[in-house]
Amino acid sequence: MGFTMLELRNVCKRYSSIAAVDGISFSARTGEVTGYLGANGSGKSTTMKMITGLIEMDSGEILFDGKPIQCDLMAFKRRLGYVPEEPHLYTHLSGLEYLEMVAQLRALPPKISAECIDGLLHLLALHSDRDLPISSYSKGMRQKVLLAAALLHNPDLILLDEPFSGLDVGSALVLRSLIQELSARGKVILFSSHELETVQRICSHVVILHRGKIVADDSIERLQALMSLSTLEEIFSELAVEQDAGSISRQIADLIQA
Amino acid sequence: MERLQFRVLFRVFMLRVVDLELLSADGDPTKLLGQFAALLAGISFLFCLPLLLVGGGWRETDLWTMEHLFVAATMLAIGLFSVLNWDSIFPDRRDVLVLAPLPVAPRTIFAAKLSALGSALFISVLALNVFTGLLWPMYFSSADGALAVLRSFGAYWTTVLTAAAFMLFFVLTLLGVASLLPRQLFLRLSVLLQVAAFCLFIGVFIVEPTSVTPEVLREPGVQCLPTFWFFGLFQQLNGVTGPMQSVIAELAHRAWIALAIAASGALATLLLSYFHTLRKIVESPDIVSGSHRIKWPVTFGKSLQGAVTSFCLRTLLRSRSHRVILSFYFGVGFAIVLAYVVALYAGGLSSRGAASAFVSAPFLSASILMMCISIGGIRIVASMPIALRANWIFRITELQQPSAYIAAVRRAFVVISVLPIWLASAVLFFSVWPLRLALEHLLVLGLLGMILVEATLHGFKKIPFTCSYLPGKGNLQYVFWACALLLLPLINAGAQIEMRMLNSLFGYSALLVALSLALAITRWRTAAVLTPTTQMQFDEVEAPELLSLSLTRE
Repeated sequence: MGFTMLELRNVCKRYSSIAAVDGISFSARTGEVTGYLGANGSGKSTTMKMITGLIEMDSGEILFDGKPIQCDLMAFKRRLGYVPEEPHLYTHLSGLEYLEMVAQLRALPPKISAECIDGLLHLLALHSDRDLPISSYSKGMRQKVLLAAALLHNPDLILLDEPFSGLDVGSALVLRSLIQELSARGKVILFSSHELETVQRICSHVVILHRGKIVADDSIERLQALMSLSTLEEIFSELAVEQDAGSISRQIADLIQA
Repeated sequence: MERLQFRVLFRVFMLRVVDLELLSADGDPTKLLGQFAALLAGISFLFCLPLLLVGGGWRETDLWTMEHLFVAATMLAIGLFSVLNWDSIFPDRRDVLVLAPLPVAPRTIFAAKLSALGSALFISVLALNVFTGLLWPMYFSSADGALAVLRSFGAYWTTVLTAAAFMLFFVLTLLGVASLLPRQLFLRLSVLLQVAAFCLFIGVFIVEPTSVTPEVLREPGVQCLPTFWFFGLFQQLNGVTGPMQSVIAELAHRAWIALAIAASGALATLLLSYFHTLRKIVESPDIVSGSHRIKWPVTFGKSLQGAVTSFCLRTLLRSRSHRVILSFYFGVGFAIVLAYVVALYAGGLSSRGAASAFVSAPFLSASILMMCISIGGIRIVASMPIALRANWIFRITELQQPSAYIAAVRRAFVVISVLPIWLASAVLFFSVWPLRLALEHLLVLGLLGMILVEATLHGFKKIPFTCSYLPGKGNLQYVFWACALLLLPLINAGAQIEMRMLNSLFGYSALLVALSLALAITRWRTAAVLTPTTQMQFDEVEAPELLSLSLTRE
């Protein structure tokens, strides 16, 4: 088992009177993929953004490598790779120009970064479209650009906020094994997704969030044993889903027929 | 059903006069619109100052000059606004994607778009004429009595509204014809046409006769100018009599014909192009593609400087909205330069010979003015973001001290605003000035450009095009008047001083020392506000209403 690299201690974030994240604490270790799960609006993306420094937390502490990230935010950002939930990119740039800009912003050596960008574009099947503006890219292609931008500088901590969104089957399979490969090479990966089957396959440890609070933080095997449930989907439904899917779907069908 | 759809769409399109995507969380677009209206009303008030200062007793030709000025100013303002709002005639991609699956007829979208634009321009005409349209018609009336004054009011407002409608239809016709072209070609051509229209409108306003007399009205060239057609229309509606009646009737006739041609041209071309364009908007993005394969032969400095400069250049080259706003400033600049050139020709180019006429202060003023406009324009467009929500990449890659970012922004501003004007001036000055004088002026111009860039960087803790926009923060209504009243006299005075200094070694050396000192001071001021804890700004916020003085009892 690896050692703890990322640790959140009692982190809170409120928007007006609503607690988006309410005193969460968990840790992620090297060589381990931590699944970060929750329903829409449960606070997953807010947590991710607080870790990246995009939004400030109201209270609590985030430690990386044993030190609060605020002590040296720049040093922390150098070791961070982030794929956001939405593929917001500068669509007037081409894929290649965007990646070159990210490499320059990260002050990567030009020759090495050019080789790395070229390789990533080839491996992610974007090379033939590298000179087209991102505005003409599909959602999946934009997701690949985000992924390449997040990995370009070989980060130690990788935050993936719904990275499978828009990817085709082939690319999703590549990403799934890439996450496992990176984890095996000692990276810390915090991975948020609604695809529970994928999470069950690649995550050794899951944190389940419900209404801004952590309701489960353990390995999938231990949760299965503790709750006597066989799949992650059943565990998630038990802990974080309040609605009766069958009843709601009947109500919707009734409503639109009325 | 269709009427309800029209009302909903009209309201939405009217509210979208300001692009809400650019705004910060605190942004209130009504504040910007209010400032804009205040600016126009301020111009209207300024036009009334002669009345308040002088009172009555105006000569007929002076009244004609004022009448023509109001018509010309209205046409200029509406022409510029129509060109600025060029893109809002057609729905954007998002509009089409949202509206296409709904049972909304394209004609309803078209009618709502056109009505929203027309209403916005109508409000602009009202604001621009709010004082002049109330006070001046009392002096313009052709006879005594309440009825004549009432007629004068009617004639005034009919004329300014008709003139405004003509300008709107003229711009719509231009747009309609251009949009019949293939979409990508239209996107490429669009900005060029906008720049050309800006230059044309401002150029005509500056170059056309400022004093209106019977002799001027009889000139064939003048009779071809639309502002004089609508001046004639006003005179006719106002009931002018006398020896000029036939000339006035001819001008008014031209105004009606021009209005009819422009209106039918706009309707025909837009109807032809609109439905075809709606489909094309969905099929192709609004970004001009194709040139991205070209590798730039130069790099723009170290990593961060290169990244920021390339980002700025690419944004300016590819973002239509930014280019349009920038081209507006350049249009104003070119028009004023044109006025300088006209003044040079009028003031003795033929009598004194080209060389001696060009080696003069107005020629220096023109280059300094373009430098000021370039830097000011770039600074203004740089505060408007592109794809605001994509700025997270700059935020999570903020790995260096603020001073490094400011150095990168400085480099970007120099490359995109100072360098092009300096190079263009170099070509021009080397071709018409003696070598030594040209070199001396270019050195001064370069230093001045650097000082202005440094002045714009003071308190600017942003990466261009990445920070949200707070409407009203620029205090448009004050800045406009400050620039309009101070900039040109200052530039002219500066050019006179430089002209004298260029002829004396001691004077020129003193000028260089003074400029270098000014550069050092402005640079020090920029650096002084930066501390290691300063963070780059990505969201524009309102200044707090309460300021803490941080006073503590020791």
